[in-house]
Amino acid sequence: MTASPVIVGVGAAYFAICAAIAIWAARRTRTAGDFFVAGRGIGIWTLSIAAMASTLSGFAFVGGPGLVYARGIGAVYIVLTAGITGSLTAWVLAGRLRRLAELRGIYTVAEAAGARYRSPAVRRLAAVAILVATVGYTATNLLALGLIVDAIFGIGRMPALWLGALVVVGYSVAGGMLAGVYTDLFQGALMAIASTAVFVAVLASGGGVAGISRDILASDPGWFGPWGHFTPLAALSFFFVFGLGTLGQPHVLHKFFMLRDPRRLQWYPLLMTGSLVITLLLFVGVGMAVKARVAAGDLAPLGHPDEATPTFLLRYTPALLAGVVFSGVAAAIMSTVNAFLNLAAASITRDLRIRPMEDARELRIGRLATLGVALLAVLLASRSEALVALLGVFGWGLFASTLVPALAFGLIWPGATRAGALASIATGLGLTLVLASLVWFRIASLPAGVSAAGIAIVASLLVFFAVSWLTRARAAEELDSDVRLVMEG
Amino acid sequence: MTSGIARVAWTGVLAGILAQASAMGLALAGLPEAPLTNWLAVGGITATMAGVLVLGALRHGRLSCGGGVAAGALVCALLVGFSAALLLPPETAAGPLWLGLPRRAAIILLGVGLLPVFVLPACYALDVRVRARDDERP
Repeated sequence: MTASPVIVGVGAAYFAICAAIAIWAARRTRTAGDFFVAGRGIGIWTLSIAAMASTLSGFAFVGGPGLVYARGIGAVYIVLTAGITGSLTAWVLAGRLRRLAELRGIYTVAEAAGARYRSPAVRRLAAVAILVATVGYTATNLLALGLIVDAIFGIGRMPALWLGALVVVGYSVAGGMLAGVYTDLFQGALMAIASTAVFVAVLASGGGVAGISRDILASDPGWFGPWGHFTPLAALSFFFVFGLGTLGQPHVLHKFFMLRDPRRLQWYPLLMTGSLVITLLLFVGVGMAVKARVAAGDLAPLGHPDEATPTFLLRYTPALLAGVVFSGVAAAIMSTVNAFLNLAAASITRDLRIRPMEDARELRIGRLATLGVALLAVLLASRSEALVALLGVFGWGLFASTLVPALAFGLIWPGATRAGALASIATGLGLTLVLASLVWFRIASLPAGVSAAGIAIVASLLVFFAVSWLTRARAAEELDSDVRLVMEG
Repeated sequence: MTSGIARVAWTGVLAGILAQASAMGLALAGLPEAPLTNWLAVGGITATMAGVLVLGALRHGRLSCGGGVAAGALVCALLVGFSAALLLPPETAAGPLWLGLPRRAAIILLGVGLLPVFVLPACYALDVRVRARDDERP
């Protein structure tokens, strides 16, 4: 691919700013607390924008608009919960996790689950689930990063993969979460600005929303039906899985441990939801605009839906904006990778360790663990695209089915028990891995509207309630009085 | 002690999850597009999400004004939005547009997607403010 000088210039500036933030943060990372929870010193703006940036991966900028173009309004259900999930997470988890972290000195999501049930076994099993999901998810995102870096600089996919990985792994190892949240802040702001600018271009390309609607309705009215070209159940299942599953995404929940002043959580839903909805304008807008331009005959039908965003940018926006959006896609991927690397390192260093260690050693091991996980993910990404794609399928469903019952429901239900938590995490882990693999290898198929993630979430919730009810006599003794106070709100 | 509101919310959550499981079961049994399947999914989503919101907002068994308004708004947005999508007739190319969008798409994108953005964060901010004021009272 021949790179445009403007796009190369914007991309180089973006990577230079990320590197500068990393150097600044690395100099301030002196303790394990700095490395894993940014010294519990970040403000509410940084927390909210960083949470938004790590929530969205490259899918929101490339795969998502492509899916909207190909399947219509039904694809929007993947992000339709964006207006709800920030507030839901705040009510159920934000305050409780932040207070628990302060009370017990907690650094990781698995540690919080362990504290809830006074159980090292719950903590370790949750950490294993997080580790399995993060390695796969990281490899998937690194592969996508290679594609984007190649699109910006035109250096070939494999060198691009290593260049992108070098930058994100560099700041993750050197500055840990301190570098992570401040690069996330920059990256999130870039994503929101790029998305807003693209949405203006979307409106201009089709004569406003009404013009776009008329063009699409004239050629494919089913696209604009309330479920698009999906069945109603398929679209509604997206809503259920991505709505409820948000309560189990550790890369977002982990950020609540970092907040300096818990009273500022008052503004979290407003800032998180506002920035998320603005950034998702590109997801919805580009898919609609490209569909309308194809319907009007201005564009030839796309060879592959993933071409929707690059095609729109190169055809309908100035090179400078295209450069900003390509950098925004890299930003979306890098912020997610950084969060996953830190989660995986924290799981290895703090949750799966044999015995406690002194702070300096924990910081050193944390950096080594980050490097180790990153190398494993890069090697996976560079060796087997098929394996990486399979691992990527696990990610969201694994987090949701293992952490929503045990952590989210566990923190609002004093009747939950250790046995219920262990059974639900094991159910979520086993079902997601088995079902997703069976579907992936075409050994089994699921009807429209039924996904491996959906089955795993529902099954792990039912197991959680059933086993907790059967072992309810132990519920009170497994709940420490200080944790009970935290749960009461 | 479980309060009355908590009991209702837990009933909603459990009923919602069972409804979602039933919808998946019907789809696996070869009825992925049956009206009952769709209505079970709509009911399951609404009951589960509103129930979880209420349980998260409860404090000492009591639901604040902010939490109550948010739960009510969420139930309205989801039930009205999804029901309208299931019940209203399909669009035609010459049909009227609502804010530039076909009617059912507008209900979904603006009613279900965008309306909660203006209500839920404000309710949460109000809820936190009221809690802080209550905590400061002797």
